[in-house]
Amino acid sequence: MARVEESHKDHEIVIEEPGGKLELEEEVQEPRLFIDGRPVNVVRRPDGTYSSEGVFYTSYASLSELARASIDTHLAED
Amino acid sequence: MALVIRQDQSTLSVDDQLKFVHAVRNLKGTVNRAYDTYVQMHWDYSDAGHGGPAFLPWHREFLRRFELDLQRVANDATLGLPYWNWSVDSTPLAGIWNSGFMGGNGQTTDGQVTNGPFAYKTGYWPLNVRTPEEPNPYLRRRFGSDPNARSLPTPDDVLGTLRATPYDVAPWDEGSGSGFRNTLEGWIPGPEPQMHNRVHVWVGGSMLPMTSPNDPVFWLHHCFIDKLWADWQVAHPDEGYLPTAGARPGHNLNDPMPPWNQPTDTVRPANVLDHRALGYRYEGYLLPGEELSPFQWVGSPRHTCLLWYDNYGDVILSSPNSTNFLWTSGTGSNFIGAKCRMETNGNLVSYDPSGKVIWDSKTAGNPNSYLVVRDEGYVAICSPKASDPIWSRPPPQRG
Repeated sequence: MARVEESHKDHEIVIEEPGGKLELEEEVQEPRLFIDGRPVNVVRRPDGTYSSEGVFYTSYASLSELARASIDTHLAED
Repeated sequence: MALVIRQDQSTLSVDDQLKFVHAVRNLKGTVNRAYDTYVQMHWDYSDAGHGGPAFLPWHREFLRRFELDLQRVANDATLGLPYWNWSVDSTPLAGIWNSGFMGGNGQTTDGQVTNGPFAYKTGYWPLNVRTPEEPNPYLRRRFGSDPNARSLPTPDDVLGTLRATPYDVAPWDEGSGSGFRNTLEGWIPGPEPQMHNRVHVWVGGSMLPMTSPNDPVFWLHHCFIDKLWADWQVAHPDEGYLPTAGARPGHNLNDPMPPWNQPTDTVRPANVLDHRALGYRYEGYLLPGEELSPFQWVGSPRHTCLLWYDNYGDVILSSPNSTNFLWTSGTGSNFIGAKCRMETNGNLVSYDPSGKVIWDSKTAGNPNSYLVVRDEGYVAICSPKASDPIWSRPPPQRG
């Protein structure tokens, strides 16, 4: 499992890519996204792009872009 | 049963705006939280209502149930959902956003809507149903702030969408590369979201999650989407719903659409194709088989002109902005009018009480034609088989 950590506007993004085992031997079939430790329910579109429950009407090429959009939409203050 | 009329929100009187706002807030405040039930339903059944052919019939049923609930709390069976034509009322200064109706944009810091009847501080509008990504209990908007949707779809975008056929194409999902449904829903691959999706993104804030009905403008937006489907159906009467099979469950013509897939409550796309059979209509048309009684009228969408039928059997096109008629059928006052009917053969006919023809448009032989009243100041009879109207009054200006 590949784990990517990054930060956007003081919020922590964690992306777990499929292909490995978690600590509890649970196989990861789909990538998982966490923002500030909270799991984000990701929607995989047929063209391979990503949306989420919170950012539903547009899609993004990567989970990182989706996470940044979610933070911009729901968490960040200008 | 009298049909409920759904009209352009820009034509609502202040009283009608207030009536709608009060009904929505009362539905939110009911003991069983009826309004929030709709928000939850839109979230729980997002797959049933999006990204596939059932996008339009699912939301048609969803809106009609909401409209009936509004009528109940308002104790007014004539209350109809208004629609927001975002291709025309397309700026943050449009009247829809005034503080007596939908309220305005969110504040720049956190997007919170602080004016109007749905501001959090009013106490009437806490967001009780939220996805884990939405920490805030207040309504939020950020007009045009997303780089993917700086502006709303244009009238040309709408016309282009209405020309798209067939209804849908394989693979019957977000990946469908053409067809009316996905053009309108807005997943056609491109650099930016389009049409329906673009409007959600342009409003931003609470209109972005699956819980988007938290923003009451959701209903006005989707009412316009439903009107565009109705317009498309009139313009393409030979194009039915697709597919009958091959889409994922819930999206084929005769599949029950969750959550309305219960033995006592079953709704399929096939059940909602004729919106008039559900009890409502949109302004601007007289469709085949429809008729006017004396003193009834058909308004253009923004009420810049009205087609009246008077008790002498005269058909009159007038404008609120002019003391002169724009056009009359000229039958004078020598007759008694009983009804003016858009016949299924394409002829518009004024009859007296004995059934004798007082006047007609002499356009028989054009089945499925319909009468349309345009904001530009004319009335026309259009045939799905012809690109130009087969009849219009006043005659179009040339040169």
